Amino acid sequence: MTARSLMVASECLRDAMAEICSHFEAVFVSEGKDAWERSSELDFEIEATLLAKQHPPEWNEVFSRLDSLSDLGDGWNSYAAPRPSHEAISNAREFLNVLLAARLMPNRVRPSSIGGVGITFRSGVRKVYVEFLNNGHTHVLFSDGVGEPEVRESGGSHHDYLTLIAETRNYLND
Amino acid sequence: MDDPIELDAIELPDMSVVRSKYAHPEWARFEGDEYKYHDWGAIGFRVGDIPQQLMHLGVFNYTFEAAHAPLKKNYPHSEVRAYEDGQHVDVAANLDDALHLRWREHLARRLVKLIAPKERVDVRQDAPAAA
Repeated sequence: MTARSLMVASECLRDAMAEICSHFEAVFVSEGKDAWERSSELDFEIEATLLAKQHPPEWNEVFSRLDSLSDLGDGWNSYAAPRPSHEAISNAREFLNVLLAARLMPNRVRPSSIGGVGITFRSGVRKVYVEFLNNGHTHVLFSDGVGEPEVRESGGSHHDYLTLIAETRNYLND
Repeated sequence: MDDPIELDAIELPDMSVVRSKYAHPEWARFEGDEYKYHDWGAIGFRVGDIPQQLMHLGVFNYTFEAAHAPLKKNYPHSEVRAYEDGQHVDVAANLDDALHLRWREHLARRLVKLIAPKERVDVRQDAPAAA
């Protein structure tokens, strides 16, 4: 396994390292292909954690937009829209961290009128919409603007988000 | 004005709207007597474009209709409502998350932008001629 460099002096990265070290024990439990695949995922998770501590400037607006959703109250859309819950915002933030590591920037991050956070990706006529609901569930819609849209539920693990990002890339680039 | 209308902006039934028979689009920017949402955009759709029926998982049959629901200070107020087997249902409590996302997407495809965000328009005082 190729481990990321641990020779970092930055205080914020030292915090990240403490958080990451606990993952190393799990990686070397098994051998063979499974361990290799899990180590590759761990590389990604390490990078996601590191980048989450200091994200590039072009991502500032994305994360700031998400942070601002905590200030909304009920009825923010002038009607009955519930404010995004702490859980929805937290789940959306975890997804953004994985997006950041995957270098896939969303087109839009907004509160959802039905309660939660909506993240949209677009390419031409195609879009992928990920909705983090206040009830903790996450649903994804794939649409080409013409045919019947495909909707499915997503889990909230790193692996689930990696899968979703791969699906999003494939769908938008198809 | 060219930006697409995204799903995060689309509510579920009971969706509050103003009926064009009784109101101009800019009237949707009012709350009571206050022109409170003067910098908000306004979008519209034809009643006939409301996704009227959705089967889900082959079991439930939901229909969707517009209904005039005047309020004390908002006579043009109307709602898009959901019905299950003819009964008005509380969508938030009863509708499957995947189903309502499909319904919102189908509606989004039919939406028309009437006023752009921050667009300044004259507020007409008289009701539409058809009223």
